Amino acid sequence: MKKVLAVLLAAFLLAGCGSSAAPAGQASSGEPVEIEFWLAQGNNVMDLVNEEIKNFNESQDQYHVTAVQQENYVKTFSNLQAAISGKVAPDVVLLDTAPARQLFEKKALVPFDEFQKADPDFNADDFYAVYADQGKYDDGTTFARPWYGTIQIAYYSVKAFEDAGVDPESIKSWQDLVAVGDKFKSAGYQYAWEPMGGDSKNLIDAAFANGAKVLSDDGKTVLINSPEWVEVWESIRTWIHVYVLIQTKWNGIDDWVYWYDTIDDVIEGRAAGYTGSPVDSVDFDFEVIRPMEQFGWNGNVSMPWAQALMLCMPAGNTEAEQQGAYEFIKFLTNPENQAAYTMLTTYPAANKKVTEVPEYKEFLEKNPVAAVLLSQSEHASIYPVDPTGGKILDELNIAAEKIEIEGVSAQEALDEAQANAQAALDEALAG
Amino acid sequence: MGNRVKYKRRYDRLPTVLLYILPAMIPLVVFWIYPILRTIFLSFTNWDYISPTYKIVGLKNYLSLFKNPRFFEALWHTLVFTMGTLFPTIIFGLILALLLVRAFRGSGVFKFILFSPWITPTVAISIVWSWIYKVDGGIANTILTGLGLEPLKWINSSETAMLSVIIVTVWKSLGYAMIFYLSALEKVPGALYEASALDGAGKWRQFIDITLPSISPTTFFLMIITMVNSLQAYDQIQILTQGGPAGSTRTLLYMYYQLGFNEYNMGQATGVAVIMIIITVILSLIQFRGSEKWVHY
Repeated sequence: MKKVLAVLLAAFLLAGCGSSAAPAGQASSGEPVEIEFWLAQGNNVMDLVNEEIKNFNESQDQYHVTAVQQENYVKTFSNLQAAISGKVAPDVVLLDTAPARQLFEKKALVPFDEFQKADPDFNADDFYAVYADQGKYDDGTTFARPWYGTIQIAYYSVKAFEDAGVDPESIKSWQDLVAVGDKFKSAGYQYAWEPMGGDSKNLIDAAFANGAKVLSDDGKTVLINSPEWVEVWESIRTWIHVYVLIQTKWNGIDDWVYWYDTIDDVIEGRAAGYTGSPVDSVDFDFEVIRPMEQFGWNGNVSMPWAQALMLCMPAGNTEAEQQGAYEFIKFLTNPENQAAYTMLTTYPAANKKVTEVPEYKEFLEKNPVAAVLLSQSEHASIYPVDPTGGKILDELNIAAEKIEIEGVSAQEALDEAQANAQAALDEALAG
Repeated sequence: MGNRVKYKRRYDRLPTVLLYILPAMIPLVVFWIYPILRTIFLSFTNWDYISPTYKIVGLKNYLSLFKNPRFFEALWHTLVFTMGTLFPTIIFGLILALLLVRAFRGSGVFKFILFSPWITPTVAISIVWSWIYKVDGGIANTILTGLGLEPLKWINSSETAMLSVIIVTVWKSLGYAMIFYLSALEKVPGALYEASALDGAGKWRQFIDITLPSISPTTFFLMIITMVNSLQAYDQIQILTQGGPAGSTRTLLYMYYQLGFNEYNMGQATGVAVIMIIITVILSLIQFRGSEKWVHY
C-alpha cells in the first residue's frame, strides 16, 4: 500500500513539475499572448476602455488584452497583493502612486526603462512632468507611466461675481479674493469661497503656493509647522472664524454629502465659488458655473497638489507578456486615446500631445475646464513620498479639522501635527 | 493499578470524543483560534501587507504604539465609548422593559418599534442619524431650539461628536437589552412579590430586593455582550464621523483599520488588535469577579 502511495505521490509531483515548466500565460505558437488589465473605473469609462482594447486587439495579432474591472483602488491593491503572492498577477494594473512605488520597492513591478529605450516612439517630454515624475523612483528608474492626473480647480458662480461687481480675471490669489470678500457679502452671499472639506488637500494646495514644503531636502525633518505653513493656515482660520468670509463643510459623513452640499451652496447662491474636482463640471452649465485655476498666495502662482493614476506592469510574468503589457500601455497613453479618456472623464491627460488631436482641440473650445486643467497642470506640486506610510498626511488632516472646524490656532495645531509626524518619520527612517 | 485502568479507560474514549467534537472544532480552529494565534504572531513582525516575507521585530510594534500619543487618544476614546454605551443601554433597556412587561393594548407594537433599530443595518441607521444631527435644519437641533435650548454642533464638533455616536449606539442597542429584560422579568416568580407585599415592602423595595437580584444573570450577560459590541463598534463611527472631527472619535478599532489598510503597517495593526483582546479579557474578568457579589443564579 505504501509503495502504491509513494508511486502516486511521485507521479503527482512530476506532473506538478511538468506543469510549472511552462511559464504561466505563455501562449502556444500561433496564438496571441493574453494580457490582463486590472483597473477600477466606472461603467461609462469601462465602455470606453473596452472599445480601446477592442481597437488594440484588432490593430495587431500578437497580443490579446482583456480588462478586469475592480471595485476601487484600495481593493485593486489588495487583490493585486493576493495575486502577486499566488503568482497570478495581471500584466497591467492601474494604481495610485504610493502603492505603485511601494510595490516597486518590493521588486513587484517591472521597470519601464528598457522598454522605453527600445521604443523609437517614446519621448519623455511628451508627458507632463508633474505626472510623469511621480512614476520615477529616487534613482531615476521609471516604475510606472501616468495614465491621467487629478488636480483640484476653482469654480465660481458667474452671477455672484456679476452681483458683487468683481472681475474673475482679477482674482489670482487668496489675498485678491479676500480683498473683495465684503463685496460678495454686500451682494447677499454668505461666503466668498468654500474650499472643499473632507481632508486637508485645499489647505495644502494653498500652503504649497506659499512655498511650503512637507519634508526637508534630506527627507529627515517634517516641516509642516514652518512659517510658510503657519502663515497660510492661520490666515484661512481667520477668514473662516473671524471674518466669516469662507467656510469649509465638514459633516464627517462617509459619502459625498459634504461635497454636494458645497456645490449646492454655490449653485443656490450662498457662496460665490468653491474648490473641487474637475469631474464636478460634468453636470455644470458653464454660463452659470465657470472654472478657473486655484488661487496663488501673495503674488505666487498656485501650486496645487497633482496626483497621478499609474499604469504598472507587475513582475513575474513572461517576457512576451511584459512586452505586450508595454505595447498596450503605449497604446493607452497615445494622444488619441488620451484625448478620448479626458473628453469623457474631464481628468487631465498625462500626455501633452493630446492638444494636437483635432477632436480635443474642438473640445477645448467648448469645455473651459479642459483648458484650465491644461494650464494648471503646468504649475502644480507633487506631494512627497511619505516614508511613514501616510502618517504625515493624517496629521495634516487632523490639524486641518482643528483649524477649520474647531478654530484652533494654526501654530498650535501644526506644532502638534509636526511633533507626531516627526516621531513617526524618525521611527520609519530608523527602520 | 486502579488509576492506570481509569486513565486507560479515559484515553480509550478519546478518539470517540474527538470525533464528536470535530465538526465544532474545525470551524473554531480555522476561523477563530488560528487567526488569533496568527494575529498575535504577526504583531511581533514588520509585515507590510504586501511582501511575502517579514522580519521578527520583537516588541518594537508595541513599544511604538506606547510611544504614540494618538494610540493613547484612541485608547481613551475606546474606553469612553465603551462605558458611555454600556451603562445607558443597560439602564434604559431595563426601564423600557419595566414599562412594557405588563401587556397593554398596543404593547406589541411598541416592543416591535423599540426592537427594530437592533435589526436595522448600522450603516442605514447612521446615515439617518447624520441627517438628524445636521446643524442647520436637523431634527435634533429643531427639538433643542423648540425647548428653548441652544443648538449643538453634534458630529461637527470634537466636543459633542463622541456623545453623538454614543447616542446612536445606545438607541440601536436599547431594544436588544429590553427584549432580554422582558424575558427575565416575566420569569421572576410572582409569589416573591406577593410575599414581600404581605411583609409591607413597597414597589421600590420590591424592585431593589427582588427584581434586580432575580434579573442579575441577564444584566451580567447584557453587560458582557454590550461591552464586546462597543469595543467592536466601527460602522457608526465610520459613517457618522470617520474618526473626526480632529480625531476625536477614533477608537482602537478605527486605528487598527487605519494602520492595517491605509498605512499597510500590519505589524502595528495586529498589535492594536492584540491590545484590544487584552482589554476585552481584562474588562470581562473584572465583570466576572464583580459578578460573584451581585449576580444571583
